[in-house]
Amino acid sequence: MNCPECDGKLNIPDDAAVGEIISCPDCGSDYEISKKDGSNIELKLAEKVGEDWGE
Amino acid sequence: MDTSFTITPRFSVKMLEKALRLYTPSHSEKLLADFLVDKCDDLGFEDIRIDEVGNVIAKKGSGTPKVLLCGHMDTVPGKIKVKKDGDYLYGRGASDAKAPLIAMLLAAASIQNHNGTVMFAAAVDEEGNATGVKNLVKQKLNLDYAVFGEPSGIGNITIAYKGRIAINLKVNVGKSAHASAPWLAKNAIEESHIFTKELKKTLEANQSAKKKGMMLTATITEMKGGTSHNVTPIECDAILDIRIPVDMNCKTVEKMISNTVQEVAAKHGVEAFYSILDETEPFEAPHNSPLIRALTLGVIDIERKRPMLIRKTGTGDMNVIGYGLKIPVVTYGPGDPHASHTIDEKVSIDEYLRSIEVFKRMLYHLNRLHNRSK
Repeated sequence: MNCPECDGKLNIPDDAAVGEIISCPDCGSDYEISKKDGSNIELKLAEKVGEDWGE
Repeated sequence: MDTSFTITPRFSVKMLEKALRLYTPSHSEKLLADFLVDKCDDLGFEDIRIDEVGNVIAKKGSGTPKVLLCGHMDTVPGKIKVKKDGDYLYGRGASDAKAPLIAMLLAAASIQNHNGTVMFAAAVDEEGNATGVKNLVKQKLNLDYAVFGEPSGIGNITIAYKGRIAINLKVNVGKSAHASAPWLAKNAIEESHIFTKELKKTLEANQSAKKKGMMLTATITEMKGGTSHNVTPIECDAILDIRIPVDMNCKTVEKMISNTVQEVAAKHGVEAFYSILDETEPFEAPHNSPLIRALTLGVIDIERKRPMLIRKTGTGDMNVIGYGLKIPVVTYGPGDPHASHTIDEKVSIDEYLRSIEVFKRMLYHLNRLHNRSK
């Protein structure tokens, strides 16, 4: 599967689960696996890393 | 211990309750250390020991990967009556960090030989000077990964902490004057204000497009100067707490501090020196590491929801281990991080019990992912 952003090749593990984040090795875009039916996988842009204060 | 021993939710809650009844502010962790040594023995851990600074260290399982599950035994001072109220268990350290500590211990107890090795560590003095964690780093534990047990909330994984430099800036103006004739001498407090204002301005410049988690910040936390209400001060000490984002390092920031102090001193003709009180590098775990993936999968397995990866604006013990050992480290555990150190510190019993299952699933996935990636 290719990156929707830069068309680079995404490495999606065979056992990847819905909800997991896949990062594009070329452009760094993060995608969340939104649906998985056998080898058919749908991606959506993942939320960015959140932030919080404190220790 | 009989390996068929079943850890029930009732056992898990009772164990946390007992740990909360032991009041263990920093430097008084011995009661909890003895309790944990005893429990580790009951739960089948091996090589159980208390190291020279008071950390409890124990091993469970065998083979790769070797993962450190580390929490801390000490709490901030201030007793809170241990009580159950609905789903909540109250007590000093309920969330910070006895619930994460005991959850990790109970999860580690479930690991069987050849499915990976867990090094369980209960550290001393986390709320003080991190003596415990610093001593752990020295021990050459040959780790592949580490998880710190701190309250992040069951749906959040802390993957990054900022670094920190704390400086004491001393300004000396050489002489004082009567307060009724302040023009006769420079005022050390007023001069110190010029330095701190300029330092803050320089360090925080050009960051308007950045999120707080990626900003270099500086704030004054202490200021002391003057000897009498009617004499202008000769000397002033100001402490600045500077937090460093993960795309910078201590050396770069120190250079900025040094240049600014020299420039302001030359411009205003005032003597100023600074000393570094603390220097901790920032740390972020690689997002594609098997550790983050394993913990993410663990949360998804139990919560049926993807966890949020969090960058913290604070500085934690994770920095010391992650930067020192160059291994992926995350911080995770049940409890509301913003309730830490408050007078009604509590943890949700249900969240605590679910977090034990998350840790167990994380260990399962980590073993699978680590050995597959080799």
